[in-house]
Amino acid sequence: MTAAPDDLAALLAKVAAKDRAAFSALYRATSAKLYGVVARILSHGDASEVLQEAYVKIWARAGDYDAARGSPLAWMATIARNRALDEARKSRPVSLEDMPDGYEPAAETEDPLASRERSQAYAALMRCLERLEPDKRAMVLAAYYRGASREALATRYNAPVGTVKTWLRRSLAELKGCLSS
Amino acid sequence: MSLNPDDEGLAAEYALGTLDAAERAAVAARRLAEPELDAAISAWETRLSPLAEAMPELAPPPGVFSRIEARLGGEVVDLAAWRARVARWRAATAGAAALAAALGFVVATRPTPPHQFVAVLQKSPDEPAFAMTVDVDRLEFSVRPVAAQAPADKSYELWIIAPSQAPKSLGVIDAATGPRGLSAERGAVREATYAVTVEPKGGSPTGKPSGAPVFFGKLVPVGP
Repeated sequence: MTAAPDDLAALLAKVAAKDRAAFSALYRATSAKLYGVVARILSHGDASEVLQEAYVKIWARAGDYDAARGSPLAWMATIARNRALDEARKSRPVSLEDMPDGYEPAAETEDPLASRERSQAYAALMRCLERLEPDKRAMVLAAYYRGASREALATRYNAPVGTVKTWLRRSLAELKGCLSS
Repeated sequence: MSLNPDDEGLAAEYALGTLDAAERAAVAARRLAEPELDAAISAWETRLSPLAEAMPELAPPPGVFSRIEARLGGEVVDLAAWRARVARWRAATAGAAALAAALGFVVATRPTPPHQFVAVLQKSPDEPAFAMTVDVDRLEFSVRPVAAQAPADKSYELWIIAPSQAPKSLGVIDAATGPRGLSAERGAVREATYAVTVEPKGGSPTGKPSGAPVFFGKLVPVGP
């Protein structure tokens, strides 16, 4: 199901030239990944709508893809994720109440299908995430995977929103420092 | 890279997704005008994106792709799909009554004779659109902006691009344009690509498009 980055880049180039067959192939190769991203942030009805909008945008903007800024899949996932976040913020605050006790979002990355594409970038990011305090790491991952807002995190971790903001920014600054070292 | 710490934090949180609706909208607007902020957000998106790539796959519901295809930019649709799309806009768009009325006008007054073509020039449902009808027998076309308003000092201009020919202006699109004559052969009218560009007020001074088209589409017949 998961195509190599070079194949995806070639497909994107054809999509930029409005090649319908290439677009169809790109959808087949990437939609389960993108749906996996948006369906963790939104309910399924909204996720399906957002997935449609994301691919319409990918069709329109395929020419903007820049290999210097990450893999084709990362670029597409970012489009889908941003759209999902806009939708999540628009409709209602995200509740983390349905997360089971002891839920550790990092466990969601234990996907055998993903192991092939675990890049150096992924390894470096995980290594730096592991340096954060467990609670702070869990917050960053809940935000990334589940689209948790500051407010939702504040409820979940029983802390003022302002404190959560401070924690998030400090954690992200640490992450950036670690990744560039 | 000389972003102040507050904006750097804002860029990071935008990419992470923890901002509320108002903050997200404000950052999305600012990044259009502030290249440094935009670059910082992109850098954060790239930094965090390995997480998205590692996320488990989940098969989307069937039928999603055909709905995507029906929404592609410059798509020319048959009337049934077009009506369905109007219904979707009506449900989805704020202030949609005027939009539906505008589309309804075209549908109601143009009951699809055999050589009538309809084009909806649009990139995505939340962007401006133009509804265009072409009567190939009479070599006439009508076009009207639907939820599209050119910036104050600009005009939208419609172009016909026949295969391997330079774009030819069909004139500026204002509130009610058409029907206007098409000075082209029938075959070319049918095969051509239609494009809309943003031009200085009153239309391109050079007779050529000033920039890349903001919308484009081809015709397919309505009905049999």
